[in-house]
Amino acid sequence: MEAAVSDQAAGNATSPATNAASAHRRAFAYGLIAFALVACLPLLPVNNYILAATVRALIFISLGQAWNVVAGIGGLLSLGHGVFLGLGCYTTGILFNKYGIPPWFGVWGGVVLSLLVALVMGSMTLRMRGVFFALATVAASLAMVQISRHFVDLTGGADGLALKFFGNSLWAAQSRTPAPFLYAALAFVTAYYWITRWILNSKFGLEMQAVRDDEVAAAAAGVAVFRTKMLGLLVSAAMTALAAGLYMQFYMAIDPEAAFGLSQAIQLQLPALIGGLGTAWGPIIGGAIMIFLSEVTNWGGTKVGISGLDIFVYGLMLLAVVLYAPKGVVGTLLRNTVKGSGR
Amino acid sequence: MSAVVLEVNGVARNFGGVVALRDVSFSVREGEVMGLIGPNGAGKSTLFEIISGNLRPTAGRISYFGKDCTTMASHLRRRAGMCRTFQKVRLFESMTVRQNISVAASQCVQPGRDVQEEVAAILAQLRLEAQSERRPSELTLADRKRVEIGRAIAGYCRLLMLDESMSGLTHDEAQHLIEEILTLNRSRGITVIVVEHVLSVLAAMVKRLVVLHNATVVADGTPTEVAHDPVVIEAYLGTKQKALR
Amino acid sequence: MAGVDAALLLALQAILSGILVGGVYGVLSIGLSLAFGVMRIVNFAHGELVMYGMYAGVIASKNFGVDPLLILPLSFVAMALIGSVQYQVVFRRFVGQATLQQLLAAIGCALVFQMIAQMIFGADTRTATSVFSGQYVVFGPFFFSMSQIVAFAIAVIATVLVEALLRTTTWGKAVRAVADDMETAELVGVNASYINIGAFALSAGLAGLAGTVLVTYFPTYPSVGFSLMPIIIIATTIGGLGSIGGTFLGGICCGIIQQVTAMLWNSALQDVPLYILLMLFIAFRPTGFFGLRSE
Repeated sequence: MEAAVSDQAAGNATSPATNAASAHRRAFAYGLIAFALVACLPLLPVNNYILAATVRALIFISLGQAWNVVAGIGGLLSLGHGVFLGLGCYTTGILFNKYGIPPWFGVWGGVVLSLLVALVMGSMTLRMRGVFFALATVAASLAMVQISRHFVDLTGGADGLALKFFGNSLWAAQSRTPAPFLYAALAFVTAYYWITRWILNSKFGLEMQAVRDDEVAAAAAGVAVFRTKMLGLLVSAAMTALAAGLYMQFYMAIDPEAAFGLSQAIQLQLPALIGGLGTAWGPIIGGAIMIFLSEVTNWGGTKVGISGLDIFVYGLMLLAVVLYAPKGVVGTLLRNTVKGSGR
Repeated sequence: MSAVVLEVNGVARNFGGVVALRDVSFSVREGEVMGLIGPNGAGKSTLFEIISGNLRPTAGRISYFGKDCTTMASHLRRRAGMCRTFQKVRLFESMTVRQNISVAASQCVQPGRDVQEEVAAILAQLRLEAQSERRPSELTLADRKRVEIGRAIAGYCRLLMLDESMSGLTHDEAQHLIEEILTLNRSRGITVIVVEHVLSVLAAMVKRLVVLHNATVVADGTPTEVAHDPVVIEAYLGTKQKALR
Repeated sequence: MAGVDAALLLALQAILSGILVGGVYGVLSIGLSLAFGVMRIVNFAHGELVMYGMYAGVIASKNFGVDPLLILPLSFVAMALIGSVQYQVVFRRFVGQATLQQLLAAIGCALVFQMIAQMIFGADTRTATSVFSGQYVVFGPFFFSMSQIVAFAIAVIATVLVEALLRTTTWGKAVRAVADDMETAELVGVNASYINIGAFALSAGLAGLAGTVLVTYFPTYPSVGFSLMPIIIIATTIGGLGSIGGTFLGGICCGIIQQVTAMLWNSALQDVPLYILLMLFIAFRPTGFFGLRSE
């Protein structure tokens, strides 16, 4: 960033490609440092609360990364991605509690179910304008709240589902301490980062962005619009359901509201919105900002005796980003370096 | 005789009670540069959208190189070489010029040809190399139109349909664009259909004019023939003459 | 046979209750429909405006001993003012296009409004009592809650008044002109900015009024807005975004379907058919029965 500014100050017109390349290198360096820091966290003398908070943050970020694929790259604002989160959690949990299937296998059941639901939902709503697609996803997730509350035998009803506790167990993917989950979550975030970058640089990513920018023009350029949207939704649903497996194992419990509720679904979107829709770094930076602010406000809130203050902050941040910085943190920074995709 | 690229046969289209097109028929031969004109409301846009695949006709057929494509999806038409531009230039604003063209190139590139090579070739043909890393918002209108044309012909293009391409350009810019289009026609053998509602724009460009008026074809001939056709004059000037009285 | 009679009676009871409840759903929703029709704004925070109206009723009832129904005009005006501020600060720039940015901004508003309510009123569920609360009316084999009957009556009156306002007054006609085509309306001298903020204020006022009516038989809590939004969205989609009468009828449909489902199946699942209906409408008829072209 500094190099670009001083070049411009000196009157040199650095080519956009050079700016982008050096920005990439810097970003990569920062990323590597952050990765190393987080990976070493369990080795440092920090208390379990901080470790757990980091895990929460990383899981949250990976869910945001999954959402970013369909919403940021694809331009389809899914308000009900909670459907896939919930399906992933409940499937993993039910298969484990009722049938003893280890979550390593059970989570794939959740992925398959999510793909099916995405397929059905998508075929009904992807031909509609974006706003209607968003509303349809809300309807789907709220329906799931009621359905999961009703079938008590299967899902535990309104009280939700709690995993049978097995202590430190690899086959049950459970642990008494947060450290293993930290590595798992870090692996997810890193993998999802690379997947996002790969998509952005691929033909598929180009198609998705073309459809996002202008559907009609995309069709006129030969892009199969419906198929592209559907694929984006399917990939995103699968990524969410997979991360949901990790979510379930870490929290050990799920209930209808936390799984499918609107509040949760909205929070999932904030990392990408704040950090930068459609960028690979966006959800990571946005998620980090969010969790940090949320911990700070909750700490401050409990001092003042108000709970849930973090939701208030989320609302303010959402407004601030949408009204003043629609490209998010990363997008606004990138304006100076021109090339946007692939970061 | 060169092949018939496009055949429009008895095409009709209603919107509720409104008749937008009524028994429209004409064919276009390979290599032709044809103009499709008519006063506003004559049905040009509707016909354009039917040919490019965004609208289905209520009756009639569209054939492309002899194959019926009346119900073919628009993106498949594009891959088959039926390409179009838009009245109001529609580029992918978040992407660079190169990426804009790559989208089309990667969808339509012919087997055995490299996408990047194709993109480079298009950029060279339309003299857009200097702008290749810019975003559409940084370009002049004339450049944006050239990018749109580049995107339209990338990969594979046999028929290029231009929708009021000259609107918003200065006289010189329009001249340059016309030259570029004619070059594409000559060097690549691309058949061109230009939709316009201002007669003078097309005079230098086309050898043949099809005139639409009141939802149907009223004239089909060389620009000179059409300009002297009393039906056409009536269509364009009819109301003015009444006003003059 | 007694069994069939009983079933028929139950069904009729459900339908009639559904109409009563649905009328209120209708008046809850017409504000949203209006905002969309005139300005293409989908106010996802509409439920929160209703929520504030509900709390107004609670305050009146519990803190001042005043029947909520008496403060209806006050509710209307207060929420109209709050709505105007919301419009000026957030929605004004989005007028004309139902974009995703606008939806997100509305969601942001909703979250902020919810938390403000929680900070002021606390997180507990609150109820309000009106003079009709707890009373039941018996018509032959049917019985109805008096509060619901009164609420329905108020809902109908409000809807009729709004329709009359839009169809007969000059202001109303200007609003419809802007809803049809903002540019043309401005060409004939309509000041679209004034119309828009006025229409939005009306939409917000209706939300508040509906909330105050609703709280006479339905409890409130800070996130009740999110619970109500699904029904509101479904009512507006079925009836048609932009059509007042249509949305009201959509609300009635929702009420009927909901009550019949609760009776036939399970009250816990009473909304599921509505969600399915919403998705079907979105897939096949997004303009609803009476709505404007969706844009």
